[in-house]
Amino acid sequence: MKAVPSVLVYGFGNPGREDDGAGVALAERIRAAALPGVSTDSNYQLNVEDALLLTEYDIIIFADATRNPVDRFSFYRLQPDTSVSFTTHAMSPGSVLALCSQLYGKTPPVYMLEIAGVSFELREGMTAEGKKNTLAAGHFLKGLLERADMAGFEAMAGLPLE
Amino acid sequence: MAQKITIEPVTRVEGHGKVTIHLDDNHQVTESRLHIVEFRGFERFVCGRPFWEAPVLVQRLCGICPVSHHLAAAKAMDMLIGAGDGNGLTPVAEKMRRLMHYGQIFQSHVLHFFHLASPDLLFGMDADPERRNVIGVILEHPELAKQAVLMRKYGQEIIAATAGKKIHGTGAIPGGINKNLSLEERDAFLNGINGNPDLSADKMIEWSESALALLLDYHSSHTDFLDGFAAFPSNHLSLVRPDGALDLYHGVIRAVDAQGKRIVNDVDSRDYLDVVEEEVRSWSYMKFPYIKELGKENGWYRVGPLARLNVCDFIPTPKAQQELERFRAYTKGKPNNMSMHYHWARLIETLHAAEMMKELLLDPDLQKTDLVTKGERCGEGIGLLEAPRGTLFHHYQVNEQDLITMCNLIVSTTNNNEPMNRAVNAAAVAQMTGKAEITEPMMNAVEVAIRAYDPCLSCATHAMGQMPLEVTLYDAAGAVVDQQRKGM
Repeated sequence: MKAVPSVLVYGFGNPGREDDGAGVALAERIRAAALPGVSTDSNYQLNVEDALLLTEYDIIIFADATRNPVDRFSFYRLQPDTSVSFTTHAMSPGSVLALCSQLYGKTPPVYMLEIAGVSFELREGMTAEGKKNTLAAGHFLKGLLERADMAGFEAMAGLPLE
Repeated sequence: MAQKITIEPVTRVEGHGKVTIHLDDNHQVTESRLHIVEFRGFERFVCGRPFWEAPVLVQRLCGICPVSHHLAAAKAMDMLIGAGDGNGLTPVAEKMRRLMHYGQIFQSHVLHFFHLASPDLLFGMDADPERRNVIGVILEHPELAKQAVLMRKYGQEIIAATAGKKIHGTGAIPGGINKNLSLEERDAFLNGINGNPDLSADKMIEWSESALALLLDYHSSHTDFLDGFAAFPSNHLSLVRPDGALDLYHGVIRAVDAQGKRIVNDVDSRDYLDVVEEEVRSWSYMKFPYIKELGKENGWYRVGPLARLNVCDFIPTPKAQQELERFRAYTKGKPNNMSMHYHWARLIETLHAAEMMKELLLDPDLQKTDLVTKGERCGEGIGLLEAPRGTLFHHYQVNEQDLITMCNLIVSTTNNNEPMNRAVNAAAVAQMTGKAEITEPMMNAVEVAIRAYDPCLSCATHAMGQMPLEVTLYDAAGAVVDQQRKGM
């Protein structure tokens, strides 16, 4: 591992569907912060080519909206998912990680930042609650990235966040 | 006791849908229906917005094929601002859009073959579902999987270079485009992105040929299945270039019947309402389009790769044309009405898209700087193109304040509504007649029939989680007598 790990924050979702755009909005906030060693990317959905992208970074953080929140947001270490979950044109984050592992023999540390959404209708802009949750998640992630080291990520993964 | 089997939702298909199969007391299939909850609210969502926003707004309809909607809307806006109906743009504008479109076709077809079709084709419908998926393909065919990833990446990079970005691309604007392709970008696509020769235009052509060879090899050993499964005669509709060439970006509307007789003869795409009408059925949210002149009963048609290869006279790239000749020879020059041959047609189009991308990249027009055409504004715009899954119709009307007052979209999957229902019924009759219980291969047979058409619905809301498969068995009184789930 390099002294300053290369980090990718990858937000996915559809900003045209209210809180579904939370992951993309969060990636945009991190991009605007211009943190050293931190790259950002975003897309509507994850897909097979993202497995190749995972090989290019030391640490990856996927950010996405969730319909089933346990809190405003949650942060946990992602495990490869080789079960039959390839149900649509898109892939789940765990499936992308499994694909990376199977194809390229690499299983980089990937974390999932799930942001609670309340409405996913075809409408411009996020709900007030979705914005609030994204703001909180962005604040948390920015703080984590500013003192980024593996121990910090591992310590925060799976812990209560508020 | 009469039964109704419900498969909800259909796995590996976008959106929410369910299949109901009605059995009589003797377990004979009496009727099958594919119910799809299509999102029609989008048309209302667009109304009231300034027309120049449409090419960006419509990408929110779908996270899988945003480029198709982006370009169809841009074509409609071309007409609206008086920049022609697809032929009035500057060379750099039209060719940049074409490059974007063929990049989209390429990556979409590759995804379908690798991610959705190959597990069924490589392992068979009866295989253990734990093995019959993309991970199974990777374990047994790792080189194929690595090629597919790089092919997808290549197509995505073409889109990013031409549309500007992955989300809410802005490349196509009313009357043209907002950027050309730099020499550096061109050289990277021709010789290898980031210096990787596996991400070059020639490699995309080579691997497209390999994928096609794989399918043909499979066909030679599974002829009965690919030829017979969910096969039925139909009309076929697509755009073609005025000289009859396959053209996925622009053309006139042509349709042939199951025997190859011309039933729609090269109609200007702006006159689509003279050709196509949509029927509403009480049990489905998705409409059923048909050719007006033939009526509801006989006018339904297929769209997409199979239809396009049945409708066109030739393919204007050499390798794909050679494959078209093989494809045509198999049915002795008659239209191909075999649902599973969508996979074959799709891979021929993949090869064509790879050839087209290279041809366009070598064209110096892509570095020209006259990006936009302007003309006399009118109040209406119509844009049609051949999206990966079939013909896509966009139609807008605008008021004097430049606000959209009417939007009508007929998406590819809607065009294939009736054929998908017939494919489901054909699979159900073949697999479920006389059977007393639901088995995994039975369920998958229905899904395989639908997947051949690669349906894509309003799918971009996903959040976390999986799309499970649920099968429910009802008795004649509507009570649930059995329920099975997978993928939970």
